[in-house]
Amino acid sequence: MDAAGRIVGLPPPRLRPSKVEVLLLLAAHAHPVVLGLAEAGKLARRQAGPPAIAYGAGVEMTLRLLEAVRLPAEAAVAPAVGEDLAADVDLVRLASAPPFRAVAARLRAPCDLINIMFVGSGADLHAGFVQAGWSSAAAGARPTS
Amino acid sequence: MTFLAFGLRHGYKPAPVSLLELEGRRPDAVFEKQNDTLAKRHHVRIWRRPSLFRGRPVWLAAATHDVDITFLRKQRNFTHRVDPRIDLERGKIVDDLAFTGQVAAWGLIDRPPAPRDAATSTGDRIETDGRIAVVLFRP
Repeated sequence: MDAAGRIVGLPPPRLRPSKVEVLLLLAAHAHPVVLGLAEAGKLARRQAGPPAIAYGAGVEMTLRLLEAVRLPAEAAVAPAVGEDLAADVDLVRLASAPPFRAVAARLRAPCDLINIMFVGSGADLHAGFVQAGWSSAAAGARPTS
Repeated sequence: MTFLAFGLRHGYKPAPVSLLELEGRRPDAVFEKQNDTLAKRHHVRIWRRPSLFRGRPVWLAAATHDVDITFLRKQRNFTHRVDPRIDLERGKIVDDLAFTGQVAAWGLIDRPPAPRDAATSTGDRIETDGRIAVVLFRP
């Protein structure tokens, strides 16, 4: 991470010195000027650019926050969590009623479980998901999952 | 494009999902969040229900997290494998939507008759506490 807080990558693991480095180390023992030149070369190489990020595709990164996040005013309005909802008889009746599972159209077999209920307009749903970084997808054009 | 993304090992945001039905109906909406590989993605299928709550539409959704691609010999077809811990995906969607500031309230509601340990149509296990997350959008 650089001084501005940007993630620039991981330094490559250091296993053992290369042949060139071994020769330079031997030469450095022979003359201190060579040691200085070797260190200057390393510094110049580090300054030339950050090491490349070499994560494989699909790696999910976990970030550890070092200080509190400042959210935009709109997002800072936290939603009320739960207990009032569980006390609402009409809502509980709707949420706890079947169906519990979707059916795979091709295999005609029970598949994913129903695990979320939304209350709102179609526009609310669309705006919420898009703002949260989700994309619309087609269902059934070519089965994948 | 889906197969091109698979071959080049990168993501493809509008990649289609297979067709699941709820009481014989196709989903009214499908959303996904793609990684930089076709093998992994979050997705949710959503169906409009005939009932209303306080005059507002009600929707049911099935959310899972694809974590790998596999080949089904019997069906001669590629498919995704899902993370069996579907409650994590339920939580991710609630968190994602809550951060937009458009959620008025949410909670988890018990469904005693709902299965706790099941398998998908392709044999992947599903582990859940059986509860359903209820998300109320701001009017």
